[in-house]
Amino acid sequence: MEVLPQLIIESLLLGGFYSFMAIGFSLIWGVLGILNLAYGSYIILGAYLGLILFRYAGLDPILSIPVSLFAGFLFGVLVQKLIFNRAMKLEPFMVLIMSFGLDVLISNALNLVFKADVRSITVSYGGDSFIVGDVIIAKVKLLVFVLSLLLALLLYLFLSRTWTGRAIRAVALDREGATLVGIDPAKIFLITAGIGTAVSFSSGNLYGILQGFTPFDGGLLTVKVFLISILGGLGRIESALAGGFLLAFIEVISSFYLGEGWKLFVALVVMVAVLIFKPRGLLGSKYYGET
Amino acid sequence: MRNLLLFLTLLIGFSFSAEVLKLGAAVSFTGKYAKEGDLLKKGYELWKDTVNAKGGIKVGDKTYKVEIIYYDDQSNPNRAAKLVEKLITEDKVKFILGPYGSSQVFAAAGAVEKYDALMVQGGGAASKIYKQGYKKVFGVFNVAPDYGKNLIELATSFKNPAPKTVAIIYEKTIFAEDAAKGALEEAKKKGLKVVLFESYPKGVQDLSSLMIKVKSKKPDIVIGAGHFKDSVLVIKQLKQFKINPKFVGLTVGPPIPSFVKELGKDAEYIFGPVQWSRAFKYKDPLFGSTEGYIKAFKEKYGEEPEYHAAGGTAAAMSLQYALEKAGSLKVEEVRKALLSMKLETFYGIIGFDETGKIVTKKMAVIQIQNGKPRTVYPFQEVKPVYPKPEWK
Repeated sequence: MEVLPQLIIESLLLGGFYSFMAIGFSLIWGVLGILNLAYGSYIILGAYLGLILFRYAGLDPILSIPVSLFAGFLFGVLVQKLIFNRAMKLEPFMVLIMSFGLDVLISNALNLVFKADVRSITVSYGGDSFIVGDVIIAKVKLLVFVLSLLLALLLYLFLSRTWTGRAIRAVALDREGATLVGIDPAKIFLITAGIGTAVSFSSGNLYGILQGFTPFDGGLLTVKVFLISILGGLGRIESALAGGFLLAFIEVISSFYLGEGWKLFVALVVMVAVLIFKPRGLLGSKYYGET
Repeated sequence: MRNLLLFLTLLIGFSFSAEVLKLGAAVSFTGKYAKEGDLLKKGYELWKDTVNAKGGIKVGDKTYKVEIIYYDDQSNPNRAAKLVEKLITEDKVKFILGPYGSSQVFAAAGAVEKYDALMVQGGGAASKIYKQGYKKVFGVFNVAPDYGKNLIELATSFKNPAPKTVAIIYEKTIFAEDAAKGALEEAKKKGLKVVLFESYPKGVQDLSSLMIKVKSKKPDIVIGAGHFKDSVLVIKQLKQFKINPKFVGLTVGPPIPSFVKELGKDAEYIFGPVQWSRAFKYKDPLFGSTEGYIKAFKEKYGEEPEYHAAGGTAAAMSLQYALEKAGSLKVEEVRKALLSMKLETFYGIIGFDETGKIVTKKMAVIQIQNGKPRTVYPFQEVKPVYPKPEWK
């Protein structure tokens, strides 16, 4: 069996999901200037929400995605209003600590409710795979890939075509300038936090069908979205895509040729290299504002 | 009142005219191992009652009735060590029956060794118990390498078609690595070609890259050594990548009911080792046979024995026959008798190596058939299904 095509397919499938997962993080970071360390736990929270909807409401993950988008949006707006807005008036460092605290809070609360068992959203079509020539494509992975890219596309259209989307980019580019043309940054902050969290929740829903999760997986996911944002740069949706596919490629190749235990190490080495030689990432530009 | 009690005790003592041999055990009756501790005690008690009903243990020209002093170690290793110390120094017990759980056994073993007593245990399976150079600690549970070894033994016993290649994947933890190495050694001994021997980190949730590697090697046998969660993941992803080996064995997982619950039909025909099975068909000097043991256990407790209780009984029995063979209550003599022992019991053939671990006993291997773990080795409760049908 020729393994290279299989490895490339695996990287692509994983990369699509990684890209979408990181968009929310990079959006919040780019527009609000918040490095949200609780982002990984948001994803896990979304995964548990998906699990509840799947188990108790019988909703297929595809159908529950609108629900998790909506729930995520509400959650994000609330957290922004009640917690981060206050902290943002203080030193920037306070926001970081606050988000770290939030991460600890969420993961432990999940642990209290759901215990530390590995859960997964096992859909009926989960175990099946397509065979194309020599390459095997797991149905779930393909599904997650397609949904991820679709949602990323919608987000892209929203940011580039709608008034609110353009306002978000304007605020990212120049807060004062945006205020001068009649945009209320406080409102944009709320909306952006909402959208970012909606992305995290829905990607959590997808994460749950892709693999098993426990309440404490958030930390590793935060590291991953951070890596993707650094690798791709904080500029645009395209940079999240570049970072996501790059990270997936690094992970798949290094775990195949070096062993499963090496992938995070290799990814971090590449991140350091990118930071030294191209500090703004592969496609980095001035946040979500520049086109 | 006191005098009366003393008188009565003396009377009872004289009327039986047999001396009493005191054994001691620190077992968990409370805490997280309370259930297992209770089962272990049931195993000890069944042995005690059976032996006493037959007159007792004959050591040299004296016959002793058995008495066991129990303390509750509260599932705490430190407490287990202290209680064993108390048993030896205050209660003057020379022969200790082990606690439940590897950590408790490990802690107790230190105390036993320090005070020159002797322990036989059926509660701990960790290899580290036997790596301390202890001389007076014996155990009847198979240790980690046996988990892999017995799977390979079974796999290589199949003929049409005989497997030629094996892939071994394992979680990077002490127990799993030991089990994988046991499989590796046995595979080499049996002349199998080892096409893959690779680890993955603890807590991994996706093994795609490793699975691509397994698939490209097309192994006849796949052995997965890990714990419950990654065992489930291995099966899910073998299916996802349409990898169809003739034999899939997992060191941990298949015997546990939630394995079938989690995997449903995909759990079918997976093999896994267990310490002891009710399907064993051995002769036994005390209970007649494995069947006799099960019957005696059911009569006394109204439930079927499983391996915790069986391990307890087997540990106590090995001590009993060592005492009888040694014909002495000297620790050194009993130790020699244990080292040279080769005893067929309901539990399997009991014999120890220099380090005190059991080496003559086979583990049983079960295969999931129709959603139930059924013993297929070394005794066949049902016929094993081989080669494994493709994933559906």
